[in-house]
Amino acid sequence: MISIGQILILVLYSGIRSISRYTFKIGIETPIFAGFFTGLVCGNVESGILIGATLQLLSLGVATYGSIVIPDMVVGAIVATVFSLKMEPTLALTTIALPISIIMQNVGVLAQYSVEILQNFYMKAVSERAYKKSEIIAVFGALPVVIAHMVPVLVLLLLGDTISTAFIASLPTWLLNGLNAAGGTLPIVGIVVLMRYLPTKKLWHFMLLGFLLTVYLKLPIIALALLGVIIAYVDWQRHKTERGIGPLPTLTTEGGEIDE
Amino acid sequence: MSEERLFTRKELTKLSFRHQFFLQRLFTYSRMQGTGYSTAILPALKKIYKDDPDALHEAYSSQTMLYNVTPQMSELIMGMDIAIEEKGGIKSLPTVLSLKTSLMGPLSGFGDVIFSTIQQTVFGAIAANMALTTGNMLGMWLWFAWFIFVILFRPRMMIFGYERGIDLVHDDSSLLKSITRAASIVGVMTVGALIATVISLSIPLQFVSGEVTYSIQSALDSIMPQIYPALFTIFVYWLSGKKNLSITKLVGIVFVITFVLSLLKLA
Repeated sequence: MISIGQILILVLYSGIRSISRYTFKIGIETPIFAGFFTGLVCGNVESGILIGATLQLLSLGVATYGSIVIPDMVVGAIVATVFSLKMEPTLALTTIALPISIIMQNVGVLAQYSVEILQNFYMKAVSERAYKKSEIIAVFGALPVVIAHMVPVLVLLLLGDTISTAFIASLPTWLLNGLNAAGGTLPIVGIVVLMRYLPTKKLWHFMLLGFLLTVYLKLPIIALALLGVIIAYVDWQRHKTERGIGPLPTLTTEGGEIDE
Repeated sequence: MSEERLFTRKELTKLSFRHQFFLQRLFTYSRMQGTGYSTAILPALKKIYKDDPDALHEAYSSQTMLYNVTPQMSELIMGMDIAIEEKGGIKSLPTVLSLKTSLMGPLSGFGDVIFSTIQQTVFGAIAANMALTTGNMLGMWLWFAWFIFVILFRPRMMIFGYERGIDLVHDDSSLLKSITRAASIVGVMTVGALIATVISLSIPLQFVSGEVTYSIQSALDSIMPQIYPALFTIFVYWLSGKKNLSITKLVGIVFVITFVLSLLKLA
């Protein structure tokens, strides 16, 4: 499907974005970039964007919550984009990206637990006043997680050629239609998780406003976000004069209902 | 500020980048960011307790305690921590540790909204929306600009925490709440736009009577486009509040429902 050089670039990318996620968060750790980048490497940018952006929406509310374990959409985005060289991108989404992302979540938990071992070495170094040593251990801290993000990409892409896509082509139409339809509604999950974390019940009218402006007036999303800034400013001015009376969001009570 | 301070702004900036690198490196379920925090603050401790190795050891060991905050807010806490320890020395350690513990919750409440939820809704949504609807990657580059801005802004938070942080704690928290509310308004509006654009769900079912084909979907579109995905979203939102459903379970539920709808020619 792709050359060994391309596979190595993608494996390396998966490791580097993992480092970025645990340090500076420079933005290469998002599913949308993963799809885009893989598309660039493999020469199918359009499929990559479709897969990456859909997975981005699916993981909207959860992706950067510190190190809380979440489905790892990035590995899913990489592998599905590569596989979409041989199949429909929407099919690659539901049959490849989704199961991989969910399996990767458990791999991530396992890796996170093994950091615990490194931390024990760290604590030992601290108690022995070997400060330099403790710093070095900390540098290599997230190594198990980085490895857990690289190896599956390597294995899945090396196996890629032997997995028969003819099998998927032979599936009946009703099943393919169903899988395609399911791919279309997946963003709902990400949107709903966001709604859980935002004070949706208190600010539902603003959400409706955003919806109506988009469906009827076809406002581009950047225009809408800028409009939102103005509305938020007006709202702030109003609440500043009646401070203490205005309803303030209590995010902690609405959030956190969804674990993982 | 007339009194002589131990740390210059340049040093604090360096410390902030060190902090960004280390904070989550050793993340575990037992101490979370605790050991990351202690590693990050080590050079500052070395400077504060340079004449007292025992105090240094005590401070360093204590700083490894369980700690977890939105990473982008942690600079504020570390700035205050350094200011207090610089002034009070090892005697102030209990103050510092309780400060860290007591600020984790409120700062995360604010930080999670701004740096996770809002960032995801506004920038993530714009990026995905533009990519899906027009294939334009401008939204993604915009998001990159935000990431870079945050990296460069975090040293400012460290300096602010060091110079003024103590006043902030004594202030009432209504400012933070106002900012949270304003950001949330922008957030929910873009969520509304997301519902209207990125979910692809329509009814293929058509009725044919003689020469006329009657499509349910075009009837719906003439009333309110995207009403079908919107209702589906509200249903899933309602469902997600019913039970403690994990993300994976939600994905499964949405998947199965859509699949069944598709079999019934309703999706």
